[in-house]
Amino acid sequence: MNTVWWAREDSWRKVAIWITALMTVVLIFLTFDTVADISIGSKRVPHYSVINKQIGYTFDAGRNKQVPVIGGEAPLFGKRLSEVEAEALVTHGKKVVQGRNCMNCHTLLGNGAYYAPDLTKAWLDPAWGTVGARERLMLAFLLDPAGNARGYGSGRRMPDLGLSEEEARAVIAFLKWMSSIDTNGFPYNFTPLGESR
Amino acid sequence: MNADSGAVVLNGGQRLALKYFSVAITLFAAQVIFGLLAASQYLVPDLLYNLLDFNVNRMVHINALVVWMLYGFIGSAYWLLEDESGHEIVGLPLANFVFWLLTAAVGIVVVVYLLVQSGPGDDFTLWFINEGREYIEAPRWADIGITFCMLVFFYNVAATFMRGRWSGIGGVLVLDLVALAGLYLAGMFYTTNISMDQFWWWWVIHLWVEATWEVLVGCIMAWALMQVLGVRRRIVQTWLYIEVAMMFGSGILGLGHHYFWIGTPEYWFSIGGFFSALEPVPLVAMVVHSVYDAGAHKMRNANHPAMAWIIAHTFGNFFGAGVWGFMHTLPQINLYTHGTQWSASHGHFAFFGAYATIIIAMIYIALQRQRGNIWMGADMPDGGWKWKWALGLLNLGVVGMTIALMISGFEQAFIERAVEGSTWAGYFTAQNHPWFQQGMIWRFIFGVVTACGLTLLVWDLLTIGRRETRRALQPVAGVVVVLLLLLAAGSLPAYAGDTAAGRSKAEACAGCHGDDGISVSDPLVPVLAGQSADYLAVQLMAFRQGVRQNEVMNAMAEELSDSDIQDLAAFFAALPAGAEAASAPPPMVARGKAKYAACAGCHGLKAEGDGMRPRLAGQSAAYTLKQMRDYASGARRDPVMEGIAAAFHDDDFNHLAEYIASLTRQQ
Repeated sequence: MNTVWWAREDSWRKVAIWITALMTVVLIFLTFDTVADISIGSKRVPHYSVINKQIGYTFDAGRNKQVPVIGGEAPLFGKRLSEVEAEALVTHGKKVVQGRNCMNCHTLLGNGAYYAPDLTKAWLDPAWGTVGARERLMLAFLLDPAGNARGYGSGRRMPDLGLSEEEARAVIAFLKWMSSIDTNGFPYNFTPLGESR
Repeated sequence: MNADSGAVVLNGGQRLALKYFSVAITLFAAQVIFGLLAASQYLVPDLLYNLLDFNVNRMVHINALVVWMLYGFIGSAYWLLEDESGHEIVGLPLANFVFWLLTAAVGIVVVVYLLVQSGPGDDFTLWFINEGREYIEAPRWADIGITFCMLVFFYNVAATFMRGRWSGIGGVLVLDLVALAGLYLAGMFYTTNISMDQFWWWWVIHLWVEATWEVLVGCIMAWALMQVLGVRRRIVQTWLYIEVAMMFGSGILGLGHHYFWIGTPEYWFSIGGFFSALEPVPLVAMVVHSVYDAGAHKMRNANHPAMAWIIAHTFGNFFGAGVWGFMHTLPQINLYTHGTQWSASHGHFAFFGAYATIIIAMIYIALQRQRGNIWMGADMPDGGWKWKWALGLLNLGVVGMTIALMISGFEQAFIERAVEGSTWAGYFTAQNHPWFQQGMIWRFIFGVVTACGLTLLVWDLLTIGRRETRRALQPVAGVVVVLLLLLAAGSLPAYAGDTAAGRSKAEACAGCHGDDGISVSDPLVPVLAGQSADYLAVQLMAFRQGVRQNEVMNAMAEELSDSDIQDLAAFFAALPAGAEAASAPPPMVARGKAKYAACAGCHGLKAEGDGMRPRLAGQSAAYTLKQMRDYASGARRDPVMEGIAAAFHDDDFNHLAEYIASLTRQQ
């Protein structure tokens, strides 16, 4: 009865409703904006056919962070794919990544589990030695992860997930495409394959 | 409540809640077992290699976590639904069917996880084996099943409140469930675009865990505080609204802290960073709320385990979700910590602190009723060692894991990220570092401590109160409404409030009315000991509504809920009337005695009172005199008493007051 307005149950119910509504509206507005920005073929998320190109990750002084750089022709496994073919291949790769539950050991774009390395820039990782050997080594690794274990002395080995060669190639296509996404400089201080620090 | 009957009849929702709680604790055990397996694979990488690999153990670990918490929330909602709405659950048979359906589905999903584990990269795998998206790995068929079950659950809750009565808790709960069910749909589609995939995936994960789940436990917490401490509804509901305002005000856009590195635009740095920084604020509010209430009620309650877990919840929520989250949600820090054990550290502390704790508190509240509304306060038959050790070991275990993982996370952020530049070689350099390894060892050790705590908890949940015969005497929900209806109809039932609860609430009265309900310092402050409970209740209501005027009492009563009033009335009515007979000059008393004949018809020959007619014996002459003068002047209102007072002279009031004061309190 004599409670001041700001301590009243009624006032706070209204505040709760209005704040929730306001924040929801702002989120919906931002969602429309962001979804447009991250759609396939946008500046931040290139089309799947980017797997036909060279992909780099270089420091941009203007943004003060490393950004993906799309270069000249470099078709995956030497075979240039149409937009439709590229999308089908990357889609297959993504489904293999989901179906084999990669995310419960690895992180993708930094999300997932922490038992194995982040795959955001796996395509660009210096672990593959040279640009020329990369595709062959990635394929061999995925087809026999135990035999080609890359545990760096940790004793950890990727289990044999029984990938077919077709699936392994699709996964590599997915990884190559993922490395072209503009992730605002994550991972930081990364040294891409073929470049020295 | 009949204190002598051993069996307490649970309502349909409560019986269903116990089933949900049983599965919840079973899945909690599964979570811990598979967590220990995954933790040991950090130490012995070849353990169960190609048989039960880390990804399988970790998937079961986190899925068991999510599902047992959902079971705990659903169980809690069914437990409080009938009490809160005053109506029996609408669609209970369907609710029971859905429990078995959901549990069967969960069982099948887990068996497939363990035996099939993974499948080829096609839609069949996503529909029937594993969707491969962290936390929501459940295959699509299960998604649809879960959605159906959640809709039935929502129907039960919403329809029951609609048929019964709405409350602040009920309203928030129903609206929150709309959001909870709706958000799950955001995770039920496939897209190759991983940026888009993770954008919507976070709608489910973040807006569940950091927004709707928090509000859901806010509702449970509000209800639990009323149950365990007898906190007033107006207080808990005001806090609930404050928490909703701050939780959704910060948490909805706090979603932005997951949009730093997944391809989304840079403006999320500012939005995510700013609103994440606000996210701990409502959690601080919850700590203040619960600790203040516990202190205001002097921690007196009949369910110590539940109270302890509620306090563990508020601190766990604040530190685990709030502090540990904020430590790495600013983008400037998150650039280095994103995807490291830092997140695991936060995850362990937050899920346990914010959610496991409050569910365990609710299970203790439920078991108290189920075991016969028994006493679960101090002086348990075995000293309560099991719940105390379970509480200690579980909290120690989780905090220990949190600190161990945090140290490993620090090391990872510095060495892998900042120094080595985030390559695979950098990752393994950090993983092989002794500082990281030591963290993993300690995490395993504290994982074992957690497992011991859980074992003890299960033992305690199965046995607590089995040998207890004392009753808890909790306030009976719903009685207040009945009381008010009867009051409006002009007759009060002989409802006995809770004297034990009244005792603690009467602390505030003692300053004037005395510890034993006998005021000594001020003759104008009435004696309450032995006064009729019905009269006391009605007067307190009159003070609260301002019908009876007194500056102090109006202010005091304004803070009282209906159940407080009943409890206080019961407490004072039960106190022994021990006042000495006052002495007064005999002639005055004699004259008063003659005039008292006009009063005796209602107040009794010895002024002992009767129900709504107050006991007058033992009151100071000054107090009685003032009341009669107030009736005469109309300052105090009562149609009968105003009429009688008008028939007397002011001298008569003096004589009557002295005579009444002279009456002994013996009957």
